[in-house]
Amino acid sequence: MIAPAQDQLAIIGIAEMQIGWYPEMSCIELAVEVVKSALDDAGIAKGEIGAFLLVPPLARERDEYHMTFCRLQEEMGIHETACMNMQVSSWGASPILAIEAAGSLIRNGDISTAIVYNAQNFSGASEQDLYWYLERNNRGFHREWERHFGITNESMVAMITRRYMHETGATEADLAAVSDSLNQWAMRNELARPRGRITGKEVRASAVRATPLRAAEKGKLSDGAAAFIVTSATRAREISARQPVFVLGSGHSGPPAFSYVQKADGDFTRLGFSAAVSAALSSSQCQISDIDLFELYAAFPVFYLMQVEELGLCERGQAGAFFRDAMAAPGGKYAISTNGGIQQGYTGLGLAMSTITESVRQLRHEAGRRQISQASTALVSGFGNQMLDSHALILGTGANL
Amino acid sequence: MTDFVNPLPELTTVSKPFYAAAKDRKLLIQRCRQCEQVIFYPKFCCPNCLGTDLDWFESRGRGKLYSYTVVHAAAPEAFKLAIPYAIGVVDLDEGARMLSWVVECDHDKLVCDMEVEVTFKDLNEEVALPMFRPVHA
Repeated sequence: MIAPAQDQLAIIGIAEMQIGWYPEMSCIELAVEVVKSALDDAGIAKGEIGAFLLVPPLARERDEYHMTFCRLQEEMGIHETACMNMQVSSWGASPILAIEAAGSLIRNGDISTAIVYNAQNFSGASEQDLYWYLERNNRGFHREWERHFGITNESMVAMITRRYMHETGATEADLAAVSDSLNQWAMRNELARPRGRITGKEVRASAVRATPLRAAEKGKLSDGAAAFIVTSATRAREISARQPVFVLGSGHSGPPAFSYVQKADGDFTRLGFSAAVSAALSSSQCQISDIDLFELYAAFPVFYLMQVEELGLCERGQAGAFFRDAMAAPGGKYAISTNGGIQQGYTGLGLAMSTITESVRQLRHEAGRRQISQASTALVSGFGNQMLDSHALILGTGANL
Repeated sequence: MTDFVNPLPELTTVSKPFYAAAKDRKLLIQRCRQCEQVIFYPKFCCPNCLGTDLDWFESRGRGKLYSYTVVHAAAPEAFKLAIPYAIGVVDLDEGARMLSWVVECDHDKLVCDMEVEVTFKDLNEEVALPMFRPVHA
C-alpha cells in the first residue's frame, strides 16, 4: 500500500448519538449535538467548516427543509465561513457520495473542510409525517405500472431474497444466521438499540412480513444522529490533534434504473458490487487481504449474503454457510459490520452514516469491546436507489506502511 | 380478498391505452418501429434509439414466474384488506418483464420459474389489470 498522498482526503472528527427514542428532541437539536461533538472530537473551531452536507432525515420533511435552508448555520452562529450548504441524498450511498462531493469542493479549492451530518427522530414525527413516510416506502415504484399491486421496498426485497434462495440454495436458516451474527455485534455496541439477544431461532419464530422475510430481521424503528468531518490530508495534519483516517480509494458500479424489476442485467441475485470493490482496491493499491474490517451497508439479510460473496470472501452459494459457521460473528475470521448493522436499530440513513463512524472508531482503536486488533484498513459499502448502484470506499490510517 | 379492488394505476398517454386494451382482454407490449426494440414498461420514447414512432403488439400472455412473495404484514395501508396477497415478477415469453399479482393459486405451491398465464381483473368500466395464474398441465 502506498502512503496517503498530499491531496488525499481525511476524516478528522466523528460523532454519533446513542440510538434511542427521543420524542422531545427535534432533528435540529440532534443535529446541533452531533455537529458540536464532531468539532470537539476533531479539536477544531467551528470557523474551519466551509460546507455543510446534509444526509437527510426521513419522515421529517419540515426539519429536512430547515436544515437544507441553513438552519444549523443559524443555530450555531456559522454565518461567514460556511459558504456551502447542500443535501446529498442517494439513500444508503449518501455518506459515501457526500465524501466524494466534499472531496470535489476541497480539491477545487472552494473550501478546506466539510462536515457531513444526519439527524433522525422518527419518534417526534406526527401521524401525518409517519403516514407519508410509510407511503414513501412505495414511492420508489412506478405509479403507472407497479404501485397498484401493493408493492413496498420490503416486499421487493422479499422477491429478491426468494430468487437468491432459488438460485443459490440458501435457506431461511442461512438468512437467520445473518441476523444472529449482526445481533451479536449489536449487543457489544453501547450505542446500539437491539431488540435484545436475537438468535436464529428467535428470527425463525418471529412473524412473517412478506415471505420469506420475518419481523426479527428488521431493526427497531429508532432515533439517532451522526456527523463526521472531512478535510485534505495536508490540512488534517495542520489542524487536528487526532490521528486522521485517510480515504485511500473508492469505486462505483451498477447501471441505475428506477424500478428493481427493470434492473439492467435482469439478475436479482447479484448487486454488481464486485466491480465497485475491484475499482476501490485498485485505486487504493490494496489487496482484499489487506482489509481488516468490512463495514457493510444493508437493511436486509440477503444483501449481507450477496456482499460477502461479491467481496470474494466465499464462493457464490456459500454465504449462508459462511454466516452459520460464525465467520462474521465476534471472534470469527472476518470482521463484518462490527457495529451490528441493521440489528443496531433502524435510524433511516443513519444506518449508512454508522458504516463511516464505526470504521473511524475501529481504525483509531476506540471500539471498546468490539475492537478488531491492529485494524488499519477498512472497506465500507454503500448502496443507493434500492441497492441498484454500488459504492465501495477504502479507509485507512496508513499504519501498515 | 375477493371483494378487494386494487387502486387505479396512474393513467397517462402511455398507460391509458395499455389498460384500455387489458379491459379488452389483451396484454400489450410496446415495440419501436425504427429499431425493433421491444420496450417494457411502456415508454414515451425508445430507450434504445430515442425514436418516438412506437407501436404495440399483443403478447400471448404466457411466461415464467421469476420471483414472488406472499405479503402478510408488509403492505401499504390501502392493501390491508387484501392480505395475504402474492406479488410476482413475470418474464413474458416475448422478453418483457412485469410486476403483477399471482392469483387463483395455492400460495404454498408457488415456486420460481413456474409457468404462468395472464388473466384480467376489472377495476372499472375502463381499466383492467393484467394478473397471472399458474398454468396447470
